[in-house]
Amino acid sequence: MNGILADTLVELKERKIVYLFAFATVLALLVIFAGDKLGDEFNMNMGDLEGQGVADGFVASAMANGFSIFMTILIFLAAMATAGLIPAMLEKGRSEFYLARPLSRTRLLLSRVFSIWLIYGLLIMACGLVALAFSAMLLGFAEGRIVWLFAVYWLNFLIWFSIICLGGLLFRSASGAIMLAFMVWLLRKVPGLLDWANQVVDWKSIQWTRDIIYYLVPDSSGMGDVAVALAVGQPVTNWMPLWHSTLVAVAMLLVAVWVFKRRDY
Amino acid sequence: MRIVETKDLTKIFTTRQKKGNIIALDSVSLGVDQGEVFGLLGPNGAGKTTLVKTLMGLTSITSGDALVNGLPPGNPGSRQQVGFLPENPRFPSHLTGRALLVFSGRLSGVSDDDINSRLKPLLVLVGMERWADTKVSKYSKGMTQRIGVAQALIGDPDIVFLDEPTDGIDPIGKLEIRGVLEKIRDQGKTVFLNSHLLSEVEAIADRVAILSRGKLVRVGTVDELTVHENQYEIEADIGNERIVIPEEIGQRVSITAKSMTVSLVKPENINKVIDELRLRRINIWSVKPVKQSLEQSFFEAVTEGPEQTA
Ligand SMILES: Nc1ncnc2c1ncn2[C@@H]1O[C@H](COP(=O)(O)OP(=O)(O)OP(=O)(O)O)[C@@H](O)[C@H]1O
Ligand SMILES: [Mg+2]
Repeated sequence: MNGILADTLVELKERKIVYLFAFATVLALLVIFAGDKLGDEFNMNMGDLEGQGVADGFVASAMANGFSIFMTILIFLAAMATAGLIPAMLEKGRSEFYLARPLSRTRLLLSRVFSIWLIYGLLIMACGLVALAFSAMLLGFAEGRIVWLFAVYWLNFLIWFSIICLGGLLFRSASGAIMLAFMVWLLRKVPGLLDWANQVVDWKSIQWTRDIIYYLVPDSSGMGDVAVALAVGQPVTNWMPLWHSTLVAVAMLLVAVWVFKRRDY
Repeated sequence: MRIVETKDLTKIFTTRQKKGNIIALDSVSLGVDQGEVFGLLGPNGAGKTTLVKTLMGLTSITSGDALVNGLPPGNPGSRQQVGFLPENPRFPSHLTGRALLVFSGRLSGVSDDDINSRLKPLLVLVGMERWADTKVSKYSKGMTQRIGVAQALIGDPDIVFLDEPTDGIDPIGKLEIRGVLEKIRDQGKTVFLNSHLLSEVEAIADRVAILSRGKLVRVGTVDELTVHENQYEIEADIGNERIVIPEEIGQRVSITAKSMTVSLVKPENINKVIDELRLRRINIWSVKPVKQSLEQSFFEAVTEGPEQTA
C-alpha cells in the first residue's frame, strides 16, 4: 500500500477525534448500565415467571436494537471525522506530495479510501466490542451473533464514506463532502413521501420516480434492519438494501476515481 | 538520452471568469540532458510551476507532447526515479521530518531498508538532523524547504525537479542549498531548477531557459545567454588616435585612451579591427567578448517577449 495504510494509522493517532469516539463509547456504557438496572427491576416485577428463554430473547432484541443505534452514531462520527481527509490531500502544496509518485491515481485514491475505511472501521469495531464486552459482563452472557451487526455497519461505513469521498473530491472541502452526504440522506426520505403520495393519486410516474430514487440512494435503515435480524438470529426478510447499497458505494467510488483522474492539481 | 523533452507543450487553463482562458504554456519545446543542471527562469506568472506540474503529471496537457524518462507524464512509470519539491510545499502536518522522509520513500516505492540507510545522510545533507523528530507543522519556512529537498531525494532519483527550493531560506541557507545542488549534480543526477533568483541559477545551472508569459524566449548555457552577440572589448594603447570603423565591418560603441568596445556585423570582423589597430602600431593587450549580466539578458528577454494573447 506504499505506506498509505500505515500513514492513515499514524494520522489517526495524532488526531483528537479519537477522544470523541471514546466519549461516545463511555456514554454507551452508561446507557447499558442503566438498561441493566432497569432490566433487573423488570425481572423482579415479573418474578421470572415466563422462564429464562423468553427473557433472553427480549434482552437480545433490545441489545441488537441498542447496538444498532450505537453503531449508527459511531458511523456518523466516523463520517464527520473522515470528511476532511481526502480534501486535505488535495490542497495546493500537498497534492503534489501524493501525486508526483510512480503510482497511478486510481491506486493512490483506492489505497487511501481502503486505508481510511479499514482504520476508522476498526475504530468503530473497537468501540462496539468494548460496549459488547461490557454488556456481556453485566448480563452474564454474550450474544455472538451481534458480530454480524458490526459487520453490516462496517459495510455501511464504506457506503457513507464513498459518498463523503466523492463529495470531498468534487468540492475539495470537508463541508462540501458533509453536504453531499446530507443531501443523499435527505433524498433517502423521498421514496417514503412518494409512497404516501402514491396512495392519494395513483400515478405511474410517481411510482417510477420512487423506484429510481430508491435504487440510486443507499438504504441505511434497510441495512440496519438486516443487521438487527442477523444479530437476533431471525430470518432476513429483505436482503435488497444490502446489495443495492453496496452497488451504489462501488459506483460512487468509480465516479470518484473518474473525477480524480481528470482533475488538474 | 534526453531525460526531459517537450514539444509544442501547451497548457490552457479555462476559467469561468470573463477574462477568458489563460495560456500558461504556449508551444514550449525544450530538452534536458542527463546529468545537467537546468535552470528555468521567468518572472511571476510566467508558467514555470505549470511546466513542472505538467511534467509531473499533476496538470493535464492541452496540446503538444512531453516525455520524462521517455514516457508521457500520464504514465506513472515516468515518475520512477524522479524527485519533486513543489512550490510552497505543505507536507502532511501529522508527520515529523523523519516520518515524512519515510512516507515519501514508501510512496515512491523505495524499500524500507533503502529508506533507513538513506535517512541519516540525507538529514545531514540538508542540515535537518536536529529537527528530524519535530513535527513538520512546527517547521519554519526554511526548514520546510530543507526537509522538502530531502524528501525529493529519498528515492535516490535520477532527476529532481525543484520549484523555488531556496524560497524563504536565509542567505547562508541559500548557499548551503546551492552546495546541496552541486553535490547532487556531482552524483550525476539531473537537476531541473525553477527559480526567479538569477544569481542562484547563474551560479549553478549548466543551461538556462527563460520563460515569459508562457513562451520560451531563450535557451542556452549561461555563457551563451550572457554574451553580447558580436561585441568585443579591446584593451589597447589607443591614446588619442582617431579610429573609424567602416559600416560594413561594424561600429564603435565606446572608446577611451586605453580601450574600445566594438559591435561587429559578424564575429570574424574582429580580425579586421585588429589589423587596423596594428597598422597604426597600436599595442593590443587583450580582446574579449563583452558579457552581459544574466540579469540584463533576462530583462531583455522578458521585456521583448511576446505580447500575451488571451
Ligand atoms: N489552476 C490554475 N487555474 C487557472 N490558472 C492558473 C492555474 N495555475 C496557474 N495558472 C495561471 O497560469 C499562469 C502561470 O502560473 P505559474 O504558477 O506556472 O507561474 P510561475 O512562473 O510559477 O510563477 P511564480 O514565479 O510566481 O511561481 C499564471 O497566469 C497563473 O495565473
Ligand atoms: Mg511558480
